[in-house]
Amino acid sequence: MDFFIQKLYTLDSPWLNSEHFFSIFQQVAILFVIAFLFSRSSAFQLLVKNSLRKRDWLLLYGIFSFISIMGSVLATNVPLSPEEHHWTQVDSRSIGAVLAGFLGGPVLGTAVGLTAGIYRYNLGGATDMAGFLGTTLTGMLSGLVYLLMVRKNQAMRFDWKIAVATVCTAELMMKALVFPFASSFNEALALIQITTLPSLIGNSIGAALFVTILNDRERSGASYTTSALHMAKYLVDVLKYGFNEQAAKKIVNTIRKETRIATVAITDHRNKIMAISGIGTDHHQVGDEIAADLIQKAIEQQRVIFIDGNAHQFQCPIATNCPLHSALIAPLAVDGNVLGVLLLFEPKRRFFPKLNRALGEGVADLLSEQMRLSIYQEQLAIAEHKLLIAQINPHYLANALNTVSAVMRTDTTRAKELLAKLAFLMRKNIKQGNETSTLEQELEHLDAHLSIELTRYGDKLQIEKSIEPELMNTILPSFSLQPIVENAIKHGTSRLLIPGIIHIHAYQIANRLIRIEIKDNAGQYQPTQASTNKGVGMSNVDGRIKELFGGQYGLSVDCEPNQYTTVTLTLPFRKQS
Amino acid sequence: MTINVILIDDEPLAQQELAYLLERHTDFQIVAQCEDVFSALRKIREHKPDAIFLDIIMPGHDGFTLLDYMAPEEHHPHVVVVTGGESDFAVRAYAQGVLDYLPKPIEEDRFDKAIERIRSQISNPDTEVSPYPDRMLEIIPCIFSNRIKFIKPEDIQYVRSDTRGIYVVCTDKEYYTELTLATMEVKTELFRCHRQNLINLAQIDELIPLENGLAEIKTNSGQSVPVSRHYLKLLKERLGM
Repeated sequence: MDFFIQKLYTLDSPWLNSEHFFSIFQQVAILFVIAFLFSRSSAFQLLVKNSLRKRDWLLLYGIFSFISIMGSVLATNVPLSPEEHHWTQVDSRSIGAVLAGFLGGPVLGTAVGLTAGIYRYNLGGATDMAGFLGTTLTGMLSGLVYLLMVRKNQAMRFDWKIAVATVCTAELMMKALVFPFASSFNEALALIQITTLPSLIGNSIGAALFVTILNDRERSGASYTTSALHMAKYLVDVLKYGFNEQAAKKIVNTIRKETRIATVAITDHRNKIMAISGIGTDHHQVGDEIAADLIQKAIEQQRVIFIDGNAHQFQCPIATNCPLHSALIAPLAVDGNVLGVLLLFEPKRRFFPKLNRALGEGVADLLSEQMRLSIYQEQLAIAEHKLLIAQINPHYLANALNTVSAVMRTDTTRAKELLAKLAFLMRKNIKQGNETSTLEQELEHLDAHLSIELTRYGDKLQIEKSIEPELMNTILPSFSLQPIVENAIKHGTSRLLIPGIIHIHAYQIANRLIRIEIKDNAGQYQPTQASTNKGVGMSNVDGRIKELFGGQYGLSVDCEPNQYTTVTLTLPFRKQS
Repeated sequence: MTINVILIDDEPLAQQELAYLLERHTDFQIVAQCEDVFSALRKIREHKPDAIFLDIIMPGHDGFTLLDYMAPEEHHPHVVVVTGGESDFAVRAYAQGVLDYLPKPIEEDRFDKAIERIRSQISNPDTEVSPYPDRMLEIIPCIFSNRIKFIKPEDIQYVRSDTRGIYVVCTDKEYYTELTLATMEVKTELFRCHRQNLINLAQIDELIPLENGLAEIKTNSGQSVPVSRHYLKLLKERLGM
């Protein structure tokens, strides 16, 4: 080092005067301190804000003018000859003007350039006019660069390479301006020899440092907040249709995109990966197990487990050269039931930032909360609908009474029968509360309900049944058959101009697995509306079957337009205990 | 004088009930009983009844629409609405130029009053009863393999009539309808281009002049529709040619 400094001191080329280099580095060092302070101040936030008030603009103008003027104040004067006014400066004035334009736009750049230029002119010396014009133009030029960048990509504002290029262009322009104002060509040449290299190098380093500091700050502060908020907003929406592989995939991709964490995964409550994205996916794939023991621990203790990669390391059970090294394992739980686990991984050489750790825990909390909400909403909908179907529809009652009164005149026995059915329905509604009924009870309820309909429509409606007798004892959610048949009449056969036929078919398809099909001859089911919603009634029956027996059972619809619609219930063959 | 009536209700029992109530009024004669709007339209044209008893909630249809499906110059019977639906149908019923409104189950006294109103209207027409509304149709009801199919007028290419009836022609299929050309001409934007055809002006691709002052229209889906001499002039005027 000493050798190098000595070498520098002994250099006596006019281009490479060591004194001037030290002067400019001194200035840059002070600028560095200013930049650091600025990046920590609230004024920095103004640069990443979208709309500024007049006061904000004045503040930014003051700060950058101060930086630019400091460039002149701190500079040492270099005498060119013994004459009093014959001197120049090796200064870092352009950094302030460049940054003002580069970060704040053409107006701010020009204003700062003009201010610092006027100050420079007042100092006097051989390059006063060149300094004034040059600094003003510098501010304008970097303002233009700003406009170009904004048009292309906002993020380029904090790219140090572009800042350096702008500073170099500005400095060279300033040197060119020396010629028209110098008293002779030789004087201009001397001026250029003395100042060019120190200002180019010094100003470039200064601008690069400044922008880099701001860049770090911007990324760690503002953009982190933005991406966290963005992520949160997205994650709230994604669980609207429940927690499934598709939702898991979306969550994983979003987290990885917003945080740049090396690998993100979600497993279900049985340790199976539902979605994974990032490095190491060659041997960790959807459906596999990952970190079973750690997940087990996280699930059992219901807490977040963090493997820092130093004291403890993540041990991949599959590959010895697995890149995953540090991990955060956060259970997604609703009221103590773990529904899934969120896993974040970083490789060996990458540090797991504290911020990402906090973020991971936050995301797990948010997801858990969303799951709870959607489960509650589902339960609420089911409860509401239970109430709804349990009530006898007033229209139904009015129609029933009309029908009975019409039948009474011609067939009193039939009228009496109908009243008995109606009384049966009423009684059943009073003592509702049973979650499940046998198929036999459901059919009995359906018959009572349809007796009115069949009387009203005469031979325009036919109900056919083929039920395997041993299935009569199987259980299904109460009130699940009648709404489906009612749907088939209301939205199906009632639109026909020929007699409507509804066929109810119950059969065993495999050991302990049965199907109940309700098929009409109308084929009026509209799948366009159904893709998002099977209709309140049907999705309710589907939900209650799944709630009772598990996700692999439920309701499906098949429709051949204008031919038939078949609603199929798939259920386990389970006799009433 | 005999008063001819048609009963329109999709429930056979309700029809029986009405027929029973009418038995005591010997001057009334039931000329037809219908279970849907389509056959009702046909029967009204065939029998030109003095009055109809009309149910509102019927398969795929609102009974009120029957009134919209009749062309203004067609025979319009007096209407008595009979329904088990909500009472706000009553408000709509009177706005639709309906003579009376009977909620189900029908009380005999109330029924007799409606009968009396029909009698007095026929013997001594009262101008206070508002005429049928003259509303544009938003859908054209058609019949397609025993199902009711609703076609939006803007989806129609053209309409043709032949000895079998009236057909609404769309891009890929054609559908039978009970509505008359006159009804659709007045109550939709479809334009008459021939004694037997209506054309959707928005679907015209080309108008090709032929000899003798005739022309032919090519529709957007490539179908051709004849234009007669009389209507060619009107069509050109309408198109601003």
